[in-house]
Amino acid sequence: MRANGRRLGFLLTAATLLAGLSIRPVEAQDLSVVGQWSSPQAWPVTAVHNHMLPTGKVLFWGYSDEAWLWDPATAGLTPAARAGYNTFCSGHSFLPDGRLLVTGGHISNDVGLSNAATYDAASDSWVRLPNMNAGRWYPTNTTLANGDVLVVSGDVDTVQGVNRLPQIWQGATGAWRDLTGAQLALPLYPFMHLAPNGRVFASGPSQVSWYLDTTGSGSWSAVANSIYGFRPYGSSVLYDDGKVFIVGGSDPPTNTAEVIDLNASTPAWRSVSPMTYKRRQINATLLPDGTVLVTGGSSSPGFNEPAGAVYAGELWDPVTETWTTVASFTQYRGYHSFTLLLPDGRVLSGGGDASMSAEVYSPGYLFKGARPVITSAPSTVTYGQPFFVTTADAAQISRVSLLRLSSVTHAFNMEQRINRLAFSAAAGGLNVAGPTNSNLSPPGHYMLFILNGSGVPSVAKIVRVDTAAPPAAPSGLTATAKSATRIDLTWTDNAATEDGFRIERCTGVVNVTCADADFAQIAQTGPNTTTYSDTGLSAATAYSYRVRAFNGAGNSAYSNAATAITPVPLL
Amino acid sequence: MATMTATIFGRWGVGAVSIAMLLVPAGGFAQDAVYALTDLGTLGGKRSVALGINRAGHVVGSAETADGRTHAFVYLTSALIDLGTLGGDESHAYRISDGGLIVGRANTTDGEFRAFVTSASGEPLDLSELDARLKGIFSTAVDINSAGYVVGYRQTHGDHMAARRRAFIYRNFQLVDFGAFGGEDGVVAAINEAGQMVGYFGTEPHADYADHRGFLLDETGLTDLGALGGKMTTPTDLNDARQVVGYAQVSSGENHAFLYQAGRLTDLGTLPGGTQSYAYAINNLGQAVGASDSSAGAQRAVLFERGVPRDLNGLIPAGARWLLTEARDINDSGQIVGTGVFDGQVRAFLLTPTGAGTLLPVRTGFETIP
Repeated sequence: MRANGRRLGFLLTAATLLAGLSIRPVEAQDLSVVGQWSSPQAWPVTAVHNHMLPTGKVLFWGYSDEAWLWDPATAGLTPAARAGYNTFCSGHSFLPDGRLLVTGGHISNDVGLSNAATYDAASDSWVRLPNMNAGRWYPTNTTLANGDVLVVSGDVDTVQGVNRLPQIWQGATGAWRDLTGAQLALPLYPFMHLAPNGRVFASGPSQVSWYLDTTGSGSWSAVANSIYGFRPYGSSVLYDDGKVFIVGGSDPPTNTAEVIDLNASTPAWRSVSPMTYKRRQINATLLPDGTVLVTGGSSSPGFNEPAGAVYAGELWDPVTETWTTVASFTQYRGYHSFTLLLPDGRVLSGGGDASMSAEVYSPGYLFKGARPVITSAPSTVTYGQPFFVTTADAAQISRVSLLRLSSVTHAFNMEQRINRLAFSAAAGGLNVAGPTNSNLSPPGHYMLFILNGSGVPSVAKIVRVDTAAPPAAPSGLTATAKSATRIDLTWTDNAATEDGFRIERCTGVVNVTCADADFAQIAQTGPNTTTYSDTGLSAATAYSYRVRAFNGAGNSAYSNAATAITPVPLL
Repeated sequence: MATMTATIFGRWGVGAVSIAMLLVPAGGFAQDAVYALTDLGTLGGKRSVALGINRAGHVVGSAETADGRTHAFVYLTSALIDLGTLGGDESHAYRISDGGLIVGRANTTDGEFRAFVTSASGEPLDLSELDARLKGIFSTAVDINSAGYVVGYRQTHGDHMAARRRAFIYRNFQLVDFGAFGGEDGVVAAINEAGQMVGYFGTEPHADYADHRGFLLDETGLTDLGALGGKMTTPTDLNDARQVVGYAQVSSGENHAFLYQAGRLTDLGTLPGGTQSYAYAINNLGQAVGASDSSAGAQRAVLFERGVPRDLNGLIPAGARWLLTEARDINDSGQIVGTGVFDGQVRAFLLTPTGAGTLLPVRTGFETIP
């Protein structure tokens, strides 16, 4: 009894000591497993809102609109243009052309701005858009399959509460569309993901998961209840096509994690192995090899408790659904911290209240030998169109992945997603199948990685995924009568993306006896064609022609019209 | 603060109130009460929301103007009247007293929001002109009683890490700072005719979105309203019988409407199949209104009767072509204001009982609470 009493006393003492200490495990030394953090770099503000821009630089701001750019190549910091209003507590996502759409902002705690604006990285400039219906403080943006952006939640103020009206920013019209049939109170900064069925999946942090159908006036339908329940300041990651992972959060913090497969006929949450450390105020970052890195947060009860800082990262493997503890950083990164994936495969982490710094994590895959190299890749790829990636390492490549550029704040990355592209090795590079489904790859900018058999990624090439456009119109059409029964056409091919040309004819003279409606298609050619012979014609007759190119996105405009008259046959 | 509280209650001469006398007697099961529905329109833009109504049926809220701004309005008998701003481009009116005084927030030319008081015919009075403490980053008035006592709160500091919210009460050119009610951060939500107040206070420093506790402040001091399984309890209104309504987080993270009376916090539930509900106002007949989702997903305006929500959409004229999405206030005549969807637009509405049905209170006295 006495011995047991002493042991109990020792355990209590140890527990008390441990309770007062932050969690900082001894790290393993195998860098190819645990990776490595850089030293922290002082930053001019606490980086609360962070964006991986198409230019390759990181845009960030903190408790005001004082915005900065960080260059991953040099670690240099330069001031960026300001929005002109307080963009703290806003939502954000990227438009198809790479501009950042910022919604809402900060007036006071729980009181939001109705402002919206875009930031153009190319010109370092902001443009105000029409206001939303009301204020939004802590909204979430979600890019839809057509490049429009859904905005939900965010507080109007303490009297009106959360903004119930989902709205869609329509790029084509430059106006907001109200989903008046889908008014519902969502948590602040809800976890929203565009799902394979085109609906938007709300995965948390509340226990109830929803689909929002954004067609018409909108409608909600319940999908499933998560198992653990409410996960405030946990995180959510779309880690594969239609597969969502939620982890951590809650108060007191939890180490549990769950997944759901939205491709199933009846999706349901399923528990997976928990993290080693309980934590809230975390960040979860999708890496090019498909793993998810969880960093930061606190294991102590309370809203944001530095005493419970968790310094060790944990890496979740979606194949084995297991965790590996990886390297620790040196500062508490909790509330108002962030992480995001850089094009060079490293992870930038920074911020957290009272922490005006950032540091860079090199995952274990950067310590596994030589990296494959992308020599060149197209700057734009279109849905359904194959493209070629030049690399001398084609024979080693086992995976090609697209990871959407990040836009992250308050423990949730509103943009990150991964697409795994089919490919085949060819001479001098890879033939890669372009994304085919804009629900899986909404238009915009992505990091294109190629990975070798050891899971080592290349430095990414930033590519724009966009809807294919109709080809450019042909020009310079000429019509020449070659005989009483034949007219030859020539034109200039101005398109690089045509599937062919459609040739139309009218018997008569343009603007005299040939109106638009009198033309009819007489032939279709393959791509890169610039001539056509029309035979079997009548002698001494006027024929007019016009040509247009076509592809899967539609027809080009017409070429000029050209007329020729077949001669009278010689007797 | 305790001294000041005692002084205020003493000035109003409020003693113990017989709560039972102020409640409507039990009336059996309700028949379908039919409301006449009035479309309050807009200020020329697409949208409007109604937030408060007084005994005379005058309504306040905010609406979009023709140029896309949001302005506070008052509705007396016909069209909305634009209450303007304090020089900026945005204002919101939250409540109107029985005497016709209106409170809310409006921004100035430099974009900062200030608490204001006005009347339908007057210019908004910037309360910060009367007390420099409100000249900070942000202030708002949220409620007013018929004695002219205005309650609101202000942000103390522009720096985010140093900022706190502190409640105030104002009347006759005097402003009293109520602080944060013992918490880190205090927000007041409503005041009744007796000067009793409800609000909430945050328990954590440096937290934008932290847990908070709801309270009732009366002559006995501060009473914690409790919780429904979550970390946030948010009272929104109280009547003269100290019945308090609001919403509180439940364990799933959703909010449920609650009634607090006689020391008990009761979950008012949701419409069938729903996951969330909100109670925004309660009148002196014990009738409460708010919103709830249902198995159909989206939110609907409700009247809380006998401890459960009832869909107000079933009580308006058939063929009205409205979807009532939330009810924000109810006066002692049973008139209800709120927001719905009409012709594809978010629009403010006024419901007036036609006398065709019987309206029941949220609770008929002190029956056993399940």
